[in-house]
Parts: sequence; structure tokens; C-alpha cells
Amino acid sequence: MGEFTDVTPSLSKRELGDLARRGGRSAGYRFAYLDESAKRDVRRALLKAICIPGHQVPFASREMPVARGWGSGGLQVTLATLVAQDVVKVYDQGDDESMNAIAIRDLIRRTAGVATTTDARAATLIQTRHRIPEDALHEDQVLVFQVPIADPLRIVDARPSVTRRLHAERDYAPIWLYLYEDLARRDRSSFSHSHPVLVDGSYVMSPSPIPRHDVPRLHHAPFLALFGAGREAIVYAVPPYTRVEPVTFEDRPFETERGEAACALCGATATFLVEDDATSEHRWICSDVDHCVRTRGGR
Amino acid sequence: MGYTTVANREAAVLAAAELLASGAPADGDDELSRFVERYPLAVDQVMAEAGIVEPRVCARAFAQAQGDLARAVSLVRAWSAMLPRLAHRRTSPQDWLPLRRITPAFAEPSGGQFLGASRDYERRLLDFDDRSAARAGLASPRDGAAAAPSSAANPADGAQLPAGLPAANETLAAEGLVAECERARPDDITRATPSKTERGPFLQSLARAETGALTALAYGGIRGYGGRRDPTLVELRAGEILVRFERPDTGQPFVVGSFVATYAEVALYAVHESGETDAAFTLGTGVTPGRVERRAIASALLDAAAARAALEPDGARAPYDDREFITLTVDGQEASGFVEHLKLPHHVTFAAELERVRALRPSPFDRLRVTRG
Amino acid sequence: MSAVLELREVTLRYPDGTLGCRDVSFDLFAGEVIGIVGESGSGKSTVVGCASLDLIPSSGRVVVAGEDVTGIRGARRRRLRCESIGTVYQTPQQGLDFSLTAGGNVASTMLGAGWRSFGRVRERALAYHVAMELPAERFDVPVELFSGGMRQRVQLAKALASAPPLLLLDEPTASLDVSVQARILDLVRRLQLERRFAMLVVSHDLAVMRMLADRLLVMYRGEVVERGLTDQILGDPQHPYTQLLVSAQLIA
Repeated sequence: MGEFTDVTPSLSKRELGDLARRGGRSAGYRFAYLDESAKRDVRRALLKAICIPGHQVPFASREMPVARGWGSGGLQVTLATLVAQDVVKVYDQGDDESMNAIAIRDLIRRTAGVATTTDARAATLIQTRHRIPEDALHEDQVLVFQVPIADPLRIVDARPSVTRRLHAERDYAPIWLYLYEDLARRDRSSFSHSHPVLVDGSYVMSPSPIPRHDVPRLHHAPFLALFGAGREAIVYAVPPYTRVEPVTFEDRPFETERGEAACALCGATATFLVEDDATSEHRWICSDVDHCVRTRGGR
Repeated sequence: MGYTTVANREAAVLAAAELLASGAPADGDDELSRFVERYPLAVDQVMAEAGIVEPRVCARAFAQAQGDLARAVSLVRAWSAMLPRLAHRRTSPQDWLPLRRITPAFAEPSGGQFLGASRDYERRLLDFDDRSAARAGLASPRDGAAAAPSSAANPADGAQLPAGLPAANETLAAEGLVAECERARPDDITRATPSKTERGPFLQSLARAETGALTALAYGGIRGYGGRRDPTLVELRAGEILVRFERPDTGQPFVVGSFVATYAEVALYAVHESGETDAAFTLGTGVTPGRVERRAIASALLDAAAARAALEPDGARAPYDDREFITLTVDGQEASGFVEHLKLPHHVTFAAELERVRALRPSPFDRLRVTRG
Repeated sequence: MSAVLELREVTLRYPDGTLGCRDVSFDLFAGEVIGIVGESGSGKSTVVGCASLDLIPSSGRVVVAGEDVTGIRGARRRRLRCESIGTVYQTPQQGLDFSLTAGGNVASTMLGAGWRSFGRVRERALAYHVAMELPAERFDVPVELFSGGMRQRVQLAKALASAPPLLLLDEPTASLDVSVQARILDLVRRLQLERRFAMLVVSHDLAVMRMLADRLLVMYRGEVVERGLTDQILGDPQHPYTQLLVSAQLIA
């Protein structure tokens, strides 16, 4: 006969039978959708990530009702992190009413029963795709970033087996070289969004595809920043008040996308603007829609 | 339906066609069961890519997804992600009840060849006859339908294939013609974070990979984009696998269920580039739940090529031979999700890129300018 | 005065069992040039590989500037290779990244050593670029567009940019046209006399040795069979293999 090795010795035979019977039945959603083993796996990975700022921590990413590449990682981090008292904001490239943000927010609300908001000042947990809210944020807030590509060294080598070793040895010469070549050939860095940053003087990290405008907000931030890449099965984190410095030469200061334009709707000059060609004139408007609306309303 | 002109195979092919035509009804009589009965291979593909054997659930997902396979797999995987993992079991040869078994590498293997219910030799002609009996699905394993032996026996006599057919590669192994390869450790890759370069996790990721991706990569390798390949299919075996557990009270083993799977083994003719090792065959294996055979064959090809590349001294690997590259590209959910995520708003990230392109334009490719620091 | 490079009974067996070198020992002092000569398979590339920290000896010790560096890896190894050991490889592909500019290749030494000022890195890289007699207007050109001789000069610039106390040259002229070889050797010789770094040169070519090396180690099948001053070895070789080598190359 073959071997029958039981790999769950902690479960008694009766529990095994019970589980098998209950297994297929859905007794409604659990709190925040994830089952206990998923929550445990994500939380353990997050704790490790917070202890080692900027370090990429692999985790057993679960398949979610949201497709890979559409925020499954951010969603797992949010669901594993939130508590019943949280007030959750979910927005996408600055827009709370993007279809995907609506779908994600709806799932969170239905399975966790938490309150939701579009006002970043009122939220305790903000799941964001590629923007940091323009509002001043504070210590009681958690920002969960959706991350498509976790590894800032991807531009240097596609193979995680190679880049893992580079990170482990803090051998970041390849990315400095990339920057050198940019400056030597074009006199300017070509990094646009996802500008690599050095965290706590140790690991180089991708801040997710936020614009350069948002990168300085991570430095010594009062909030906890969690980053979830579900497809790549990686989480990383930056605890509050941590050094986060863009990778630049000391004699080539970091530049944001600042231009001269002001928002055509609210007049703001210090927010990140995007082009709007919907009307007959070309104009610039705030990407952070809720902030813009409040500014217009004087709130 | 389709006949070959090779005389002593003709009966086998006829028998295969008759088996197909006489497909037995599946469990239950409802819509889902009819779907499983009518489109078993679509259901098999969803099951394989979702990594769970649940024909009715997969049929439901396929319908809900309006036929979009990737979406159907998404639905099933999301559902199965929250199911508890209870235990692992190793299968032994006695657990396989073969339905079909061919050995292209050997004309007369020990135990014989059994064509089984296969469409391989049917002419691929679109049939516009609405009443055609060819609509029936493959014979269901539950009704114990026999596979046709290669001698011209009557399939209706209900002869069972022997369980525990010896592996066709035994003769090769006995002569020492098989290269030593890494042993595969079984890890549940949905619950652990294993290495992407070891053989065990690699095989598991192949078992859940997107069917087209497997086929494309295997094909690219054969075409020469990988290391030298001369593959031969040693064995293709489809069968019902019994899953056994022990009774909690008496410790006696009993069967909790079964599922149909297909297993393939490929041998690569190897003349190692390094010239150091003796000529040997590198064996690769592939398994898939269900009967979509190209999944198993493509997996076996990829496994063999990667195992062979791993034997070569350390050096650059062609992507087609690289377990890491393959693992990162064949998961249908990761691939389709990420490709389709481009439909999400990208106006902020694109604005950031636009800003750079505009800023860099004045002197974009002036390589010969030297600025003194 | 302590040696810049010491090898003590260094033995290396490759994973497939072949012998790289056996019980190789020597001291190399500042300002001095040692040549390791032998045919292919003699072990000379293995020895320079151990000195450049590309290879790890199976037994024995490698000491650089008084520090035992046998088997070191990671950040420490990288730092040493950026700051203390310059290596010019036999083929430019081994030592350079062809997709980078000449300046970028040289800059990688400084960047690896932790320099973070673009201006200073570039200034230093350009200084060495020019010192190796490369045209300034080619400084920002990718190395893939360079000729073989120019690529060797870029390797030299890269190896010397951090002013290391030790320079290793593995068959520095083997991949070059004859007409180019002499100019490269001239340059190397002049640099060594000016800057007085310790240098280890590996070659099968006795003419190269005569031009560059003060002392020679003759290797055959992984072992040092003869050693001494270059003139003595070339003029009056003792070991039969050395005699064969000298007569075969018809040194006048």
C-alpha cells in the first residue's frame, strides 16, 4: 500500500470530519471577507514588513473577488487590517467614483459593515491607487497603497532571483548607474511615477506609481503606510516618522512635476493637476476630486 | 466517425468513436449537469486552471462568466481560496484506475497500450448536422466504461484496464539511461511562499497554469528558442484517481472520492552541451486534473526542459528553460488580470510620464555632448 | 613593508573536479609587477581569479593589504573590488556593461564605493577616461560602439578610477590587434611607473612579460614550476617547461 502521511496532525480526526462536512457551505461572509488563515498570513507578513521598513515580504496572496492586477493586494491588506470602528475611504488615481474604487468600497462595506467616506480627513483607513490625499494627514490614519510592481529594481533586472540578492546585499549600484546614465545622456532623470526611494537609509523601495508630487509626503509621515501587491504576492510597509528619501544624487535635487498652472475649478496651485480636454478649452484640474470639491465649497 | 487507414488500429479508433457516442449521463438531471455532460473539456479546463475538482461549480462559473474562461477561473478560485485545506495525500500506483494509456515511445510496453475514448483520430470537420450523436461527452468515469485495447476487441464486453500499470519509463531507468533530476517536494503554493526555482513549486504552478500559456511556451521551446529539444512522449495516461483517507475510529483506509486526471511523461534526447555527462534522457512529468491532454504534455515538456537546463553548469538560461520565468508568466489569473488592468484609469500615472517626456524632449538623444561637472 | 597581495598555498578545484591551481604562494609589494606566465590550462587565470575575488579557493588564503579576504562575499567583497582591487578582464564583456556609456562604466566604480555627487563622479570618471587616451567626446557614448582597443582602455579607466593599490590584468592584450597591443602595453607601463600601484599580469606572451613584469612565476598544470626575476627567467630558464616556453616564443 502507499504511504498515508497526514500533514495536519494538529486536527483531530473528528475535527477533520466536521471540517470536511462544513467545507463547501457558505454561511454568509465572515467579517471582512477573509477567512482566519488568510487574515493571519497577511497580518504576519505586515508585522514583519513594519519591522523592516521598505523590505519586500512575500505572503500567500489569496485569490480575491477582485482580479489580480486590480487591487487584490491592497484589498487583502485592508481587509486584514481594518476593525469594525474604522471609517474607510477607497479611491483610484484621486477619484472616489472610479468604477473600481466603487466596487472595492462596496465589497468592504458589505463584508465588514464599516462606515465609508470620501473625505480623507475623516477616514481612518484609506485604500488608494496611486495617489496620496492632498489633505494633511495625521497619526491615527493608515494608508494602504495598491501596488502593481513591487520591486524598484525591476527596471534593472526582471528576475526576482537576481533582485532579491541585490536587495539582500543592499547592492543598489545598478539603480545609481541607471540614474547616472539618464543624467549623462539627457541631463535629466527619466523617473516619472514610482520614483525609487531609500527607506530608513537601508532598502530601496517603490512608493507605488504615485506621482513625484506625492513622494515627499512619505518622508517622516505621521501615518502608517502599507503597500500590497496581490499579484506579485508581496507586502511592504513604512512605519510613521520614517526617513523616505528619493534616490537622487546630492547635487541633483529631487524635482516634482510642478508647473505654473492652477486648477481651473478650485484655483489650487499646490495640488497635483491633470489635463482636462472635456470642454472646448484645454485646462488643468485637480486629480484629487474630493479635495477639489471641498476647496471650491470653502470647506 | 473518423477512421485511420492503419489496419490493426482501425478497430481501436472505431471503438473510441463508439465510446464517445455512447457517453453516459452525469450526476443529476439539471442544467449544470447537462452542461458538464455536454462540455466536459471546457469544465476540465476551468477545473485545472482553478486548481480544484468541482465540475458543477466550474460549470456554474462558466455560465456566469458567459463563456469567458479566465473569468470563470477567477470566480472558482476566489470561492476556493476561502475553503479550508485539510490534508495532503500521496497517490500510489494502486490508486490509479486507467481509462486510457498510450506510449508513443514504445510500441509494446509492459501492460499494453489502450487508446481509450479519444478524439485524436477524428477528422476535424465541422459537423452541421443538429442531430449528430457526436454531441455526447466523453464517457463518464463513474459508469465503468471500458477503454479499447489495441487489439481489435469489442468495447462493449466491459473489460477493465488493470490497475497499477507499470510505468513505461521503467526500462529506461533500469538501463540507467535517465538523467538524475531534482526531486520535487509537494508544497501548497496557495498557502506557502515557495521558491520559484525549485521543481516542486514549479510543477504545481504548471498544474494550475493557463492552458494557452503552457502550450505557447512549450511550443516556443520546441521551435528552438530554448535549449536543444528533441522530445518524445514516453507515456500519456488518463485515469481516475482514488483519494483515500483513514477511518478515524479503526484506522482503516477508505476512499473519500475520486477525480479524473491526465499524466504525461516526456523524454528529451540529451546530448549535454558540456560534454561531461554521459548521454541520457531527461524525463519531465506533467499532470492536469481532467482530460485536457495538451496541458499535461506541455507541462511535461516544460518540466523536462527546465530539469535539463538545471543540469547544465550555471549560466544564462533561455526564458523557455527558466523555471522562474515560466512560473511568473503562466498563471492565467495573474496574466489576464494584469493585462486587463490597463483598462483602469491611468490618467495620473500617464500625466507623470507626459511631464517627463515633455521635459526630456529638448535634447533627448544627444549622446555626444559632454558636460563638465 | 607589508605586501599588497599575498597568496598562501592557494588551491582550487572546480566543481567538475578539474584542478585549477595547487599550492600557489607569493607576495606582491607596492610598486612591483609580477607576471604569471603559462599556456592555457596552466592555472594562471585561476590564480588571478582568486586575487580578484571572482573565485573562491578550495584551500589556502588570499590576503589583500593585510586583510584576509579568502571567501568573502556580498557587500564587503564589493567594497574591496571597488576600492582596493582593480581588474582588467581578458575580454571586455566580462569587465564592462556594453549597454552603458564609457563614463557609466567608469562611474560604476565610484558609485559602488558610495559616491553620491553626480558632478564629482563624472569629473573623476572623465579624468580617467582622458588619462587612458580616450577622446573626451566619446565619454557619453555606449561602449558597444567602441573598438576592442578602446574597450580595453575603458576597462583600465574603470579599474583605476578609485586609485586602488592593486591592479590585476588577465591577458590584457589577447583580444587585441597586434598594432593596438603595443599602445595598450605602453599605457599600462607608463601608468604603473607613474602611480606605483602593485600589479599582477597574467599572459601566455613572454613579450608582454618582458615589457611589464619585474618578476615572473611560471605555471604548468596548476603549479608554479619556476620563479625569479624576469630577465633571469627569460635569459636562463631552469625548468624544462620554462625552457620549452622560452624557446617556443623565440625571444631574442
